[in-house]
Amino acid sequence: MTSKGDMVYAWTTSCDIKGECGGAVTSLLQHALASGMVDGVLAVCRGADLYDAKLKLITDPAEMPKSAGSLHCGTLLSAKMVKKYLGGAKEMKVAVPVKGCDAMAFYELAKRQQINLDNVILIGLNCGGTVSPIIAREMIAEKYGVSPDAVFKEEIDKGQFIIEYTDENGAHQHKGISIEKLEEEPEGYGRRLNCQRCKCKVPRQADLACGNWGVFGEKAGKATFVEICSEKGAALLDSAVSVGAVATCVPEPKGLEIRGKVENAMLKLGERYRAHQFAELGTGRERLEKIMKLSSRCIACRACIENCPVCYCVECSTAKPHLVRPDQVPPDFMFHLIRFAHIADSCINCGQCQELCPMDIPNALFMHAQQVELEKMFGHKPGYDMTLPVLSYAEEGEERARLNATGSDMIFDNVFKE
Amino acid sequence: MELKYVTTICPYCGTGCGLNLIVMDGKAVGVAPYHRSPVGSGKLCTRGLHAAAALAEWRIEEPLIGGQPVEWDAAIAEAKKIANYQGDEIAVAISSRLTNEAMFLVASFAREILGAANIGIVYGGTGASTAKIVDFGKADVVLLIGDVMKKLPITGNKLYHVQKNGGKLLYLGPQSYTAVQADVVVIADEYTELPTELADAIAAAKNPVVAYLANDAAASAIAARLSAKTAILYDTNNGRAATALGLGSFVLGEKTKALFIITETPEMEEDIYATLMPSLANLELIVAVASNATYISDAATVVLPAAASNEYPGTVTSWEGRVQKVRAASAAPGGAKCPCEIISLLADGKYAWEDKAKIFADLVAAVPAYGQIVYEEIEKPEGAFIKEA
Repeated sequence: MTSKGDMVYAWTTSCDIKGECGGAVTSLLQHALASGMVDGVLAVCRGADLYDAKLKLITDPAEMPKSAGSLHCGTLLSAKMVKKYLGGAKEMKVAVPVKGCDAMAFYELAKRQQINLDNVILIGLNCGGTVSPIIAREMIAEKYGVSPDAVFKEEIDKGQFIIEYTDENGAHQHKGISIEKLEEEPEGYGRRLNCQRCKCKVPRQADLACGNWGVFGEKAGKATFVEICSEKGAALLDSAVSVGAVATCVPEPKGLEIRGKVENAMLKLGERYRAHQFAELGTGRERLEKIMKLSSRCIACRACIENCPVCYCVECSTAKPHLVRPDQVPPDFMFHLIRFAHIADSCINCGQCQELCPMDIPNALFMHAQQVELEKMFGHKPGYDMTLPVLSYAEEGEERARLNATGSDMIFDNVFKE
Repeated sequence: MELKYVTTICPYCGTGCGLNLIVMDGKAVGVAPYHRSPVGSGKLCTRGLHAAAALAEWRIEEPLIGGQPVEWDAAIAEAKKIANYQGDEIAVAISSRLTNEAMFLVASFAREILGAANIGIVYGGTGASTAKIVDFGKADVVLLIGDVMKKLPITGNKLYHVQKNGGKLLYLGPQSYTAVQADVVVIADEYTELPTELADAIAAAKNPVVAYLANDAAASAIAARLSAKTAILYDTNNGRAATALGLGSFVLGEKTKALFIITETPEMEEDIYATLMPSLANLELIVAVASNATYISDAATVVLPAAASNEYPGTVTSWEGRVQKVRAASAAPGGAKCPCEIISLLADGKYAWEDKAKIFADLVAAVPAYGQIVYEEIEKPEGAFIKEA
């Protein structure tokens, strides 16, 4: 029997599952389905090639092996899919493999009563960051000198982006380049910018957090490191072990140490990228002006809103004519101010409002930069638990008196000026 | 319950953005980004984001004669009466949103069976680009004529890369979104000559590109006098194929008594038929192959309900000449049929319709621009490029 806080090495006992690192995740998902703990698995499946990740609802356990294997180019907004298309898991039980950002999105939608987390099993996947497919292919061609179609496996390990590929003679080769080096160079290769800033590498807010960090010794490459993060996670693992779907053993002490080091190194790197990217935005008026200038590219297509895993309102304020004049392109800056005011405190830095913006507005950078400031001010840390965001916090009388005393009614000068 | 993604191409503009239709229990219910798209990397504008809705609104589900529902046999028999007219009395208006295969079959039917003198494309354009979308990234100067960035937003996105790489965007045209984004701007509601400051900048550039809309004749005339690569931007998702097939813009001639028209029209774009409306009353027979109800289908003698984009498989050609797969995400509603099947029925089975690879092979044989393409290559996310001489 396991319980919250335990850590094990786990691997599949099925010869059908050819998963990454022992196939434990695929097996656990399959077991959740086969045992009736869930009605479906919202699985990540390979599409056209290893750069293409797609979501598919799997309801037949026999289909689970098809979803095996890591796809590091995908970012799939699974929480939004559960909210929009699976009724927020209110009427069905579903298991979902999640990266840190996905797990955070589940919490933010759950606290807004858009998803019933009681009906969801989150299988967390450690994530060192994802790479946009088109950038990955370009980078592999340019920096590795390898045809992207010859690559059959890619991973981020020990600070490197490593590809395995078949060379012209049919032999298997591998090649790694330091992630930091790739990301420093002017072409903008490497991980998505939001992934560079990410500090949720081991998603412990999921029911289980799984990955290869810390698998050491004879199990290296053959087992998954599983950290049990909830009683629900413990029950799934115990049940899978009891029917023999997965086997486990105690992790090597050296492995635990390595895992801690890897995670810490990633967190420090994330911190460095934050400092760097936020600094480029400037501060105070300069930051505001930068945001206004770049957001003047907006065509009001609403892709940022459609794809945001926190947005859920049926009637979006940005579509109200008294707030944002309709049919104006670019729209009034109020469009962006509304988005900041409504969700910046809860931004989980999934990066999709930026990556999917037709006009390349760095929306996620703007939003995330505000989130970290709001977290400092109000202590709300989005995506980790069910604590509600601070929607507004002002001692009205006190605040009015303070503004009055300045002798100016200019909000900007009073509130934001350094 | 079934939920899966079907990767296909946006039915709206000619950029050719890939997208995933979210299919639940056989119905397209939404759109998810297709990050693997070499064109848009998952980015979509407001039209692409609502591509699933294009399949849902005002669908025609059964054949109609004079507005009354009839069996398919009766409707086909009625529609065939168009062949009783002389070739110069028949006009055929083809949609620039049909797949390459369906468009080729309709054009073949119009030429070979109807012998129609007047065959054209609604809301098409002319011209074959010499630039590809990746060329924007390499250009030091790009001249934009007209509001191209707003009309084709994801093509517009690539233009920001020009500025990011230190290049300049020049603009000629009316006050517009694109004008706001460009570095050197000359505002003109009408244009026949390129202003000197823009002409000089193009002349001094190493890798200049000029981008304009395929239905902008004035821009085309200006571009023809420049030594720059051209990006000729089609406003519809398969207007480029119409040009490759030799189909010009449709104009209803004075002699026309019978009109055969394909109205494969996604939601939001009904207006493209506005210029035809006043002339419809003068016609003796209108046969409409229509996916959605429009005022054309309302006015038609016979309506043959057709599958819409992404309800039947095939390929489409983007403005850059990239041929990509469109996939059937859901079944057409009610009795609606694949446009290829409708043409086959009207032609008494002269054209095989089910095997789209076979139709594509016939297209390749008939249209040299497609001659280089290996069909299997189109299946890849990158698609395959046509080569116009």
